[in-house]
Amino acid sequence: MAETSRARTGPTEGTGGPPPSANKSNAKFAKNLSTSGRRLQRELAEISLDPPPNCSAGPKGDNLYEWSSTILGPKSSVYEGGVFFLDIQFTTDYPFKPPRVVFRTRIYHCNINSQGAICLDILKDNWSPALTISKVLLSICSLLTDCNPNDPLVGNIAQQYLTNREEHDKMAREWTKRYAT
Amino acid sequence: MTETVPCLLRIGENVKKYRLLKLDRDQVTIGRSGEVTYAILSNMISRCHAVIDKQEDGSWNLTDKKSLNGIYVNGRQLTPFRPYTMQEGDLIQLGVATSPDAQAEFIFKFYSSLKVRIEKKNNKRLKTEFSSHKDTLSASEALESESETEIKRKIPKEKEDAGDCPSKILREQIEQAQKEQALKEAEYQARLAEMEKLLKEKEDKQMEVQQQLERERQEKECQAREVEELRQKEQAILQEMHDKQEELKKEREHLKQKMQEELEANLKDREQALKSQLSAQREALFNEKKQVEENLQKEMEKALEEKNKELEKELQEQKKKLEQVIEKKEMEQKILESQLNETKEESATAKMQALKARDDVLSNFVDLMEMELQCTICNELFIKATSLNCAHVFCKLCINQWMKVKKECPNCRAPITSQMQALALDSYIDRMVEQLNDDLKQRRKELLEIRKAEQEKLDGNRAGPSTSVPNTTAGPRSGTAVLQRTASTTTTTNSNSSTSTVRTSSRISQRRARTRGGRANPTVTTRVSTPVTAAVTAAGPSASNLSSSVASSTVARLLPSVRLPTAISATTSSSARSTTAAPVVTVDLTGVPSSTIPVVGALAAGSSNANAGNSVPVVDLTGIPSSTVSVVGAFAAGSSSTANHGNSAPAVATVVEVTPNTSAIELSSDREQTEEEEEENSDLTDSDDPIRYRSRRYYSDEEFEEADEDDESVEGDPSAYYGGYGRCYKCGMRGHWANGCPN
Repeated sequence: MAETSRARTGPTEGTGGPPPSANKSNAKFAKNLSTSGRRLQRELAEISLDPPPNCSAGPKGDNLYEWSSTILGPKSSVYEGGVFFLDIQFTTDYPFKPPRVVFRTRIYHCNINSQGAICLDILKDNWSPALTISKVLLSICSLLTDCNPNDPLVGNIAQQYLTNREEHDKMAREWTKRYAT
Repeated sequence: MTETVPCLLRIGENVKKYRLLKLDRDQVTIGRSGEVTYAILSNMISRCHAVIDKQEDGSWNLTDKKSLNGIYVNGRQLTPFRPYTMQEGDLIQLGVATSPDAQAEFIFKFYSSLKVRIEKKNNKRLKTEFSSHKDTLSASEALESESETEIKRKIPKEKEDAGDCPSKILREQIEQAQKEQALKEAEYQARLAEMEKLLKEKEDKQMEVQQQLERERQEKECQAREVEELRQKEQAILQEMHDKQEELKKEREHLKQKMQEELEANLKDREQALKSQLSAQREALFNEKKQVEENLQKEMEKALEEKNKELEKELQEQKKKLEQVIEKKEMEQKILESQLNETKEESATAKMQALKARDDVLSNFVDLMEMELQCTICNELFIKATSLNCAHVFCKLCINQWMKVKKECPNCRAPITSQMQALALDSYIDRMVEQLNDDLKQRRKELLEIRKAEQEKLDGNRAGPSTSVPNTTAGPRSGTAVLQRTASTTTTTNSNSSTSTVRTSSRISQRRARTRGGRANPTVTTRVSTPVTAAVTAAGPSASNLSSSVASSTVARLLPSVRLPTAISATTSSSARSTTAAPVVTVDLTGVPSSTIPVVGALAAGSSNANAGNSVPVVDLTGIPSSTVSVVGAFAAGSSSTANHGNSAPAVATVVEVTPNTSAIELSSDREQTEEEEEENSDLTDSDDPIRYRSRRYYSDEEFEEADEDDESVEGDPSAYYGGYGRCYKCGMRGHWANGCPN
């Protein structure tokens, strides 16, 4: 499974992230601090000072626009005991555009597909610049505890969740155990 | 017989009477009365004229008994009652001379001793040497006595003569008198005989006395002899006495010498004894003294020793006490020092705590400020804070940027209908940042610069691509003209009530903004009166780009026109005249090349909805040589929600009215404002409250602005600038008052 995750990371790195010009501008603004960069720095400081429960996040390297994050499986949920890695990519339009958040660890969840894409309204239409990455992570945590089968990304899992909850839970635990520990 | 007696002998011629006055008694008185010793019958003599006293030493004193005529001794009158001791041969004159020629009647000479012949006792007359005188004297006496008797006889004779008339009686009486006379003669004869007898007897007795005197004389002689013998004896006795006295003297001298010697010896002995005693006593005293001194010294030494001991004891006790006290004090000092240290530490800690607390407070404050006064979009302190209709506040740039994406509040997702800059917040933040630490200040400064740069960049992004469009000669003049024209069109075309209301409201807000930020920094007010239609939302992103493409430069050019309403009106009128058929709206399409079609479509739609029939949506490129595309006619709704006019440009008030049908960009010109002001002012002048009106006038923005304009127009001319206020009453110059006027 680790291989798959690793394999997935490759294309994401290649495809995702801001365009090279934007990167350059970031580098240029690293000291001058563009609006997005400034905001990201603030968020980083905030999240490292006061991280949300069961979550952690930070930039991967020097690039402020590429973060990685971990979410511990919420207690009393089927994902308990699992550690889920996420990739977060910001654009220079941040915070006017939502960040792109992707699960890098496989998870059995009706709103998260095998590619790790998350079906969350705030990451799409309902994005607001008032939202921060910690809030997003918290939302994801709450999504883990309570999935939304009415607006599924993976229809099978949603169906199973609705019809055969036990099986779903079992599978979810199994996946957690298999991929996230 | 003679004897020697002191006497007064009368001298003078024819002196018979009172010849001799013997002073044979102790006291002799001379006077006229019968009581004195010698009575001198003369008128010159007083009854008691003078007294002569015998003194003890044998002298005689004469005293005048205050006689009438006085006593003169040797011609000098004696003062009465002052005795005068008479001297031998003194002439004593009793009374004075009756005539000055004659001598005084009675002058006597005093003899202390005069031999006088003594007469016999039976004669009772003293017989002086002048015996003849004596005889005469006695004869006179006898004559006197005879004359007396004769007088006595004559008196009855005269009486008998007088009584001759009755003769018988007188004869009888004479007879009787004769008889009686005879009788008396007989008696006298008898008496004479008796007297003679008596004389004889007296003579016998005298003889006997003489005999006895002789015997006595003899006896006296015998006695004298005896006296002489006695005298001799006395002399012998005296001699003896002399001898004895001499002897006694000798003896006395001898005895005296002896006694002196003895006394001296005794004295010496006594002296020696006394000296020895004294020396002994002295020695004894010295010894005693020494002893006493020694005793005293011993006692003193003892007492001193005792005292010393006591003192030493006391000293030691005191020392101990002092040591204790010192120990206590030291302990106390230690305690105090420790306390002091503690307190110091405490104070230090307290200071540290206070500092910490202050820092905490400050940091808390900073945190709080950053928490509360932070734009949720950029996570910075507000820069040009803008509050939305939902009361959430963001940076102006942030919210504008977000509104390009979505027209809803980032916090509450409420649709944004209006936005209002909150100047108070801005100023507050600026002030607070100045007060707070330097980092924040620096950061704020940087941020502001960056924002400005970004804004410029944003504007540049829009303006930049516009150059690519042909007809690149962009004229600011044309731009302004176009916008002005737009204003004119709106005024002309939108005659419905809704626009008018919007206009007024915008004007009010503009006024407010002016009052806050001053004339040079008015704000932009955007008002969306009606909800955006679905078509608008669909066309959102591109439309927003369109709207935002109004260059700040062109807007900035509008500023003078806003200030000068007359010019605006002129231009508008002219422009309206020239392009009556085609009101021009400038729309920058260059920014978004892909949106040309929707715009055109919108324009087409707008044209259909436009009130003005002559307005054809034509892109007018001929009249305007700039890069901007000017669209003629009222241009369509929805797409033109141009909220982003002049972010940095001053003095542009824009009201964007989005109706389902029409949208118009309105430049609320000052002409309109002035018109309305005039209306207001007229209202106010009509009203009954002049004070209120005045106050309103004073504070009204228009007034203020006008005044400002006045300022500018007359700048540098003090008289015009300040009017008459604050000037000298006399000369009209400023800088002094009339009472201190130098002119």
